[in-house]
Order: sequence, then structure tokens, then C-alpha cells
Amino acid sequence: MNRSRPLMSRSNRLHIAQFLVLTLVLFLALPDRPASAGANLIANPGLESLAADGFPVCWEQSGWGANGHTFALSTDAHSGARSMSVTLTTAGQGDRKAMMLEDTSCAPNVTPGHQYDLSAWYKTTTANTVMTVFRHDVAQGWVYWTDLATLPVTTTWTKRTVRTPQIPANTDQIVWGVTIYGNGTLKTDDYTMVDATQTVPDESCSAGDKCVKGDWQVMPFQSSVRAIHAVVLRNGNVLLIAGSGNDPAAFAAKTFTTAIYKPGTGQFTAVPTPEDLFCSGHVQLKDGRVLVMGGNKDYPAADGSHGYKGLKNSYIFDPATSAYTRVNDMTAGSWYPSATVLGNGDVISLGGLGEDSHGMVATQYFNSAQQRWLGLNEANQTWNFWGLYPSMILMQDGRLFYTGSHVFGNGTPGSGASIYDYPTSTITPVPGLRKKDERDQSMSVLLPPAQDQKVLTMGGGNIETNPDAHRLTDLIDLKQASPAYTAGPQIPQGTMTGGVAQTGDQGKMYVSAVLLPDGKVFETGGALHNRADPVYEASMYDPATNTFTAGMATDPVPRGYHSSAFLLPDGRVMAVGDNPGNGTFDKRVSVYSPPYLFKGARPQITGLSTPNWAYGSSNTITVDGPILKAELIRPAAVTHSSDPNQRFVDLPMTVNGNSISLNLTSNPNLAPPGWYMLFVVGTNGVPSVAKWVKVG
Amino acid sequence: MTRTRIAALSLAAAALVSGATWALTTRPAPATFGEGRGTTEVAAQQTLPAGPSPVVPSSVAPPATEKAPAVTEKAPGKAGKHATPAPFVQTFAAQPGVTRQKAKRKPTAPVKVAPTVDGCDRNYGTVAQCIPVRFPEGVTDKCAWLRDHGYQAVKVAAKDRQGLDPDHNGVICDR
Repeated sequence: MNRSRPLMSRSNRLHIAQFLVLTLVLFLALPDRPASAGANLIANPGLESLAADGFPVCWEQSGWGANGHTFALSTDAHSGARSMSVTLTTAGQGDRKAMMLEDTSCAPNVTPGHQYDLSAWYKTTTANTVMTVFRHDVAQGWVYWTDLATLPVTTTWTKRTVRTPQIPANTDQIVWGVTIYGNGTLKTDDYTMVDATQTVPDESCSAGDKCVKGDWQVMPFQSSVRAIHAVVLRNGNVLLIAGSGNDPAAFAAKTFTTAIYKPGTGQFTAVPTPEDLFCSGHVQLKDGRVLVMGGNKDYPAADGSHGYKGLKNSYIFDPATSAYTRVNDMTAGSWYPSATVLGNGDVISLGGLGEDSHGMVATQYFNSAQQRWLGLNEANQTWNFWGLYPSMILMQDGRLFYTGSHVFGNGTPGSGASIYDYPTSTITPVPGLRKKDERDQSMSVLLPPAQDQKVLTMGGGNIETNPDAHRLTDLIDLKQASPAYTAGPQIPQGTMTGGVAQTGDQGKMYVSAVLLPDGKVFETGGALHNRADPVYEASMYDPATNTFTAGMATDPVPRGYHSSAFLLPDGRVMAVGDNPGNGTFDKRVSVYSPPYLFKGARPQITGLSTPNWAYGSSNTITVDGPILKAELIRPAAVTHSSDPNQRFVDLPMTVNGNSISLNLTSNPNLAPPGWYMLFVVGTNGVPSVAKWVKVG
Repeated sequence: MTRTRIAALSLAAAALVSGATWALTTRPAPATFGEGRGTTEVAAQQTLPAGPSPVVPSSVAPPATEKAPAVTEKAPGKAGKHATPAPFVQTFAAQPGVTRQKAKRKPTAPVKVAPTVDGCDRNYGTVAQCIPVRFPEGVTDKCAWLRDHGYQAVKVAAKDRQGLDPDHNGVICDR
């Protein structure tokens, strides 16, 4: 019987086996799939399918304003047969954009907390472009969310990818597109949107309570001065200004003090102080020097013949020389003046007491280019009295929002909050602030990120009627057409002297609120009454959920009148000062390490393409691992629970491995010029130490 | 079956399983437009998640053609390779219907602010100290409150307005 011939020879079989083994080995050796390799969530991404109206399926023509514009389909495509073209010919008001349709079929579905890489190929003849995102809120419907990045001019097809921030809670869909708001033509094609959510590493923490509460340390040294004013400088040091320090003996002796505190070494260096800068205003200029305005010309007389008097003097403190240089006088004396830097780098100062102890009603304007205070008739005037240290926060359109947070005063007219438009010298009231006459030494903050345009005002009291300070917070969304404060969550309660628990509606004035690099707000310090009864309580406010987490570690040092807390470039919070009514002053220094400092390794910023960032630019950094987000935080310039310039500016990322381009807004009102602390936050929620960046 | 054949068949099976796993677990790559479209419009529509239809309140949802009005602060920047974009500013908080308060006349009389603006009764102590103009609600014994809060040897600086120096020796709460 003949054996049938095998199908394959032994040699053939061996070759096949070798091939299969090689295939298997190659498969096993392949790297993991790239994180961004997800499904494209965009419907009709290449714009090839047309609807009955002749425009691509799932896309719509959008925008507003009296501008000459044309939407068209172009055969100049990146791929396929067509692209979308938008041309503006008479720009100046409004914008135009081709957007994804806001419907359940076309709008990409998203998951809260996730991040997405949005990409489009484009050509544009104008740089006046921006990637704009709307989100569908399950309670509010479609609302504007954010702007991500400017698209630079290019004549060749160029791909732009930007990673969204984490999708907010209650969001189930987003739509996006590229807005054009300058004369020119923008063509887009081949959109993609892929889930870029990164794995969260194991969050094991072995630091016990510190993992959730953080930890305070009282430094083994005291401040060399009464730290009533604190300014974080662009070199990471802290300028602590006392002037006479609320000490009439020092005033009489003309003993005025300032110190530079170096957090790295714990050293204090005395700075010659030319006048009594106690009760002055202060703000960083765009070059990082500090403009100090006004101060204390005199203390009140015992016979009641006059109250505090404001100085007209103004100085610039230069961190490079550690010295004050006098500039021209303000137009009026200013005791407790506000100081807000504008988008052009100029400074507006409002309120306070004049040289005659009366209310100062002038609008005082420091011209940055001319390095001088404008004369009374050179600045636009409303002749309105804004009270003392009125908290004036710069809005994204350049107007100032008076939050209602102030110092002293009782029964001021109006609703307690308003919007001030300097160019037109007009004021419009803003409703909704509760207990407007009990907002003395409350604190207002522009919540992270500044792009969201939300302000939280928390706590406050009234030093004249002296009720228990309350625990109300009010929240306002300045993106609304008719913004109004709405009730926020109550500040958690703490304990007072002797461990007595707060009860009822008891809250705090002299409260400090510090923006942290993880996007939360640390609330700490305060007291129940006029220069009395410190409250030991600290909490963490999360803007994403509008909730306080109670039970953070509390500063063991009382922090009432003349206390401040502020963020250090290393991500810790420093607290100084306490000046109770008995006339003593607590010069102890406390430093708080938030929980994120106990949760793992810190991300490292290993490279920075340039420290000088232009508006609308994309700036490259290198990091040592995956990054969740990046932001700029303006360094503190705080006194009396007032730091209206404190802000957290989100930097949408374009991610290419460990090289990340950070997209800065084109709008200087969102990030006024100056030096900022650049933080990145790792996927473990831990922030880096800051690098310093100069904006504008 | 020879051992060689068994080995070859096992490897082939493993390779097939691996290949199938790879093919099934690999999500479609994003469109790599420079190398030809990786996603057709039909495929993209098919990848849209089928979620519940969210309710869009008609009173809240903006008209489709009026999304987030935006204006530029100044004339748009001149086009160019390195053109700087003009600020992109939104028209939020327009406050329709709210009357704008125009500038007042320059005041001819000062805006009076009480010397006790800081809530301290300057009839007592040094300026560094602060005897409250009004004590907290519920305080019935002011001297006890002052002692509890660390006030010591406070002198009457002007008038004993609050009656804290009944023996008129110029020092409050010393009896």
C-alpha cells in the first residue's frame, strides 16, 4: 500500500512553524496602543456627506453680529472632495463659526471627568480664530463652555489638536468648532475627537489623616514684621509690609517696616520703608514690580475730631533691587484703597479714605506705559464712593465686578454688588448678594478657572453692629446675560477658643480663600466678631461640584484681623498675622501642606521653551510623565481678606507624549499681563512646583 | 500526527487567536488624514454613542445661529504669518434692561465717614486697642468680656461713653 504523499513536506511545515512563531513573537513585542487611538466621535468628520440644504450633514452655520460673511464649501480639501470655508469681510463685531449640530444624533456624547483630544485640519489667513466648545448640561441645556486655542495663520493644511479640560459634571454632550472673528478666510476639514482620558494611578497614601486633611506646621521662627500686607514676588520670595503695623508708637517714632521673606531658607531681610504703608493698596505690575499706593497718613484722634487719614504717596517696589522707588502721588489720599490690574497692564484704584478722613470718591488710574498716576481730569470719573478695600475683580470684557466684599462700613446704598465700566463711567447694580451689610472682611475669589467667570463670596461680618459673623456664601456666574448672585453652600463650622463648637448660623469674617493648583479653593482662618473670637476651621471648596469639604486641618494659630493666607510657588499655603482688639499682634508663621502633597510623586517640568508668553500663543514644556492639566496662577497680593487679582487661568494642552504645548488665551482680561506661577498637575492629582512665566 | 505537526498547528492556532484578539480589541485608529482618510462619514456616524436623548429646554437653549455672541475689543489684527490674534472677548453680562448709573456730579461736600469706621470706641485705650463700639450680642458684663479677651489696664482716653470706669480713676474695669 502506497503511503499518500503529505500535503506539505517536512521542510514546508517547519518554515510555516517558524513564520508563525515569528508572528507570535512580533505580536507580543508590540507596544501598547497609543492612548489617543480611540474612535473618532465626530459625525461626518470629513464633511463629505451633504444635507438637503447643501451644507455638510451634522454641521451648521453659526455666529452673530453685523459682519459681512460667507459660508461655503471648498474643493480645496485636506482630503476627500471638500472642506468648509468661512470668510469675514467686515469684521469688528461678532464672529462666525461652523459648528456641530446641537442634537442627539450629531453632537458627540461625552463622559464627565473624561478629557478629549479635539483636532481639525485648517488653513487661515487671519489669526483671529479660536476653537470654541459648548456643552450640553442636563439641567440647563446647551451652554457655552470654553475657548481652547488660537489657530495661527497658515497657507498649508495644518492639523491642530487641543485636549479639553475634564468634562464638567452634568454634561452629556459637547459640540465644537473653529470661530473666526477677524477679516479673512478660514478653511477646515477632517475633524477628529477621541477620548484621551488617562489612567489614574493608584492613589494609595500612607500619611494617615494628612491624606485627606493636609497638615499645618507652625514655623520655629516668627515674622520680623507685622505682616499685614503680603505680596508673592516673581522670584518666589514674599514681600511683607507692616508700615507702622497698626502701632501708634511706631507711627510716632516713624518706624516703618517691610521685610522680604525667603520661604526656602526662612530668612527675613529688612527693607527700608519710606512712609507708613500700613493700610495701603498693592498689586504686581506687568514687569513683576509691585505698585504700592496710599497708606496711613494719621491714626484717628481720641476726641473724635478725625478718623484715619489716607496718604497720597505711591511707590514701586522692585524685587531685583529690594527697594522702593517713589512715583508721582495719587490724586487723592488713599487709606484702604483697592488695586486691580487691567488687561492692558494699567491699574485702577477705588475707594478708601482721603487725606481728610472722608470717603475718597475719585477713580485713580495708574498708566503703566507712562509709569505715573493720571491726573484727576485725565481719568474717567464717576465720583462714586466705593467704600474701603472694595473687591473689584476684572471681568473678561474689561469691566470690573464689585463683588460686595469690603472692609468696614455699614448700610451702604445699593444692592451690595455692581459692575463698573471704566470707559463709560457707568455702574450697573447686580442683585442677589445676601446680607450685603455683613460682608465686612468676607472674601471673594474668581473661581478656577478664570475662563468660567464665576465668583464666590464667602462669610463676613459688620464691625459696627458686631453680630456673629455668618457662614453664607453666594455664587455668581458672570457669563450669564443678567448675572445675579445665588446662594452657595454654607461655610463649614469650626471651634472657637477653648474648643467650643460653633452653633446655629455662626460663621466667620477675616476669612482667607486661596486658589490651589489642583483647581480647588482652600478656605481658612477667620473670627466671629470685631477683632475677637477666632474660629478654628478650614475647608476645601470644589468649584466643579460647588461643595465644601469640611474638616481640613486647622491652623493652630488664630487668624483674625490683619491675617492673610496665600499660595507659595511650591504648592503650600502660608498664613501670617493676627491683631486682636487687645492690641497684640501674633507674628507666628504657619504653612499648610494640602492633601495633594501626600499623595505621590510630584510631576516635574523639565523644560520650558520660553518664559515669555504672548497672548494667543502656544508654549511648549516638557514633563516627566502624564499630565492632567496645566494652569497659570497669579501670585498673591493680599491684605484684609482682599486679593481681587488672584486668578487661575486654565491652559488647554496639546499633548505629544512628554512634550506639551500650553495654549494661552488671546484675551488679556482673562490673564492680565505679569508674572505667573505655571503649575502642571499629574494624573495622580499632585501639582508640580511652579515655574515662573511672564505673560504679555 | 507528528510532534512537528502538532507544534505547528498549536502555533497556528495561537497566532490565529492572537490575531483575532488584536483585531477585535483594537479600536479604530483616528483618522490619519495625511495618509488618507481613516474614517468615512458613515463609519463615524456609526460610532456615535447611542445615549438617551437629553432634554433641551427651549427657553434656555440658545438659537442655533446665535451661539455665544462674541465681540472683539479692538480692530482685528492684521493678517500675517506671525499675526498676533486680537483678544477674543465674549459679550457676557450685558444686563439687558438694567439702567446704567451714569457718573455723578463732582461732590461739593465730603462724603462723611465716621471716625469710628473701624468699629472701635476711641474714647478708650490706645489706637492699637479696640474697645468695641458695640459688644457682641449677649455680652452682659463688658468688663468680664474684655478681661477674657486679654485687655489689660486700658485707660480712658476721652469720655467714658460706655460707663466702663465707674470709679473715675481713668482706668476701665479695674474694680
